[in-house]
Amino acid sequence: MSLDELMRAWQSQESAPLYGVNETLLRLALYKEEAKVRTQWRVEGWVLYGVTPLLLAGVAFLFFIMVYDDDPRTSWDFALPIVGAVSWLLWAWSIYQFRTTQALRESRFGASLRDQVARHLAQLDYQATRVVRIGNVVRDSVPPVICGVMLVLAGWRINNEPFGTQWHWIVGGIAFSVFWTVLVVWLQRRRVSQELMPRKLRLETLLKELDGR
Amino acid sequence: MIDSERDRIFNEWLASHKGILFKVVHAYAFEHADRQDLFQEIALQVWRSVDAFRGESSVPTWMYRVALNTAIAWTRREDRHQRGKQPLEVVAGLLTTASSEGRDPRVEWLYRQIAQLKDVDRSVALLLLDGFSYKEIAAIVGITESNVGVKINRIKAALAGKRAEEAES
Repeated sequence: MSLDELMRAWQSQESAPLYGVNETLLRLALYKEEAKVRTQWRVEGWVLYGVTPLLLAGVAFLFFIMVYDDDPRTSWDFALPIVGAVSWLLWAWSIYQFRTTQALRESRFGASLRDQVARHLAQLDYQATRVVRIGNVVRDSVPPVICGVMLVLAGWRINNEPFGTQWHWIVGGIAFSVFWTVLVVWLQRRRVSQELMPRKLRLETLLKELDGR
Repeated sequence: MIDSERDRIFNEWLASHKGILFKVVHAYAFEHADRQDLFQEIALQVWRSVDAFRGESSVPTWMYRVALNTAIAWTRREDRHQRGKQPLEVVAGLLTTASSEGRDPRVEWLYRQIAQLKDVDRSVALLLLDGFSYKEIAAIVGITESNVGVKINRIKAALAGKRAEEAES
């Protein structure tokens, strides 16, 4: 049995297919999957590009109230919403930079199997570095907390509520944010070690295999 | 590209070249449930890839490329069902096993041998058996032609060795 004979036998599969396809079910599965991806993309976009103008409008409103009400204001009062808005903008900018840098990195790979494996590896590295490097964790989680705290403080100043009687809310809020961040990072790190790293090792083995090493 | 146009092209591709998807699914997944899952994943990637197709290669080459890329990245770990894909019960029944009547037993033998190859060699073997040239295989897989030659020699040796072993027994 020569290779040519085997090839002829192999190509005879076209006349006796291995499977049948339920096309209605396939179409439903494709649409569902696509809708899921689009929804996820839309939500990320709304958070990044939708919440930012709303937040800036909120800060502008706080300024408006501070300027036009009769209570005396100090420069600290005005600094609160500015620091909050700047924190949020820095956070949005860093997420935007992360996403565009990653998109650029992935676009450099071609369509071959080797490039696809390398692209998957780049994606896994991206996901892993977001939660493993402390600098990235701080950059992702601290600015929204600062923003929240500053806006709450600004709101209290407008309502002339003294900080002295409310400080426990701030401490509680920060403590909860820290707890929440630590919990999320811990869960994500666990996912990295249990899921992403084994997949990464497998892909690295494949890449070596492709490179003939 | 509007969705209806994408659907039309995808349906044409599927009608004409679904054999490519079946071969890749059969070579990379070994349980019926896994085959359902991998088929859905490959079909989804082919459907998405319609927009990116520029006609620089033939449709079968393109479909092979997408299908192999997807299959090789597909892992057989259980977590794949948690990566946002359809629960298996939803896609069960996507593929129905056709009657084996009229199928050449040598094809089943080939699938058994292919299953024993490493992931990348498996891709090369599928392309070789479908008559792709060294140059085309190199472009699809993303390795040099000489590397393709090395792999093909290894695959041929493995097949010949297996045939000899079975002939003796």
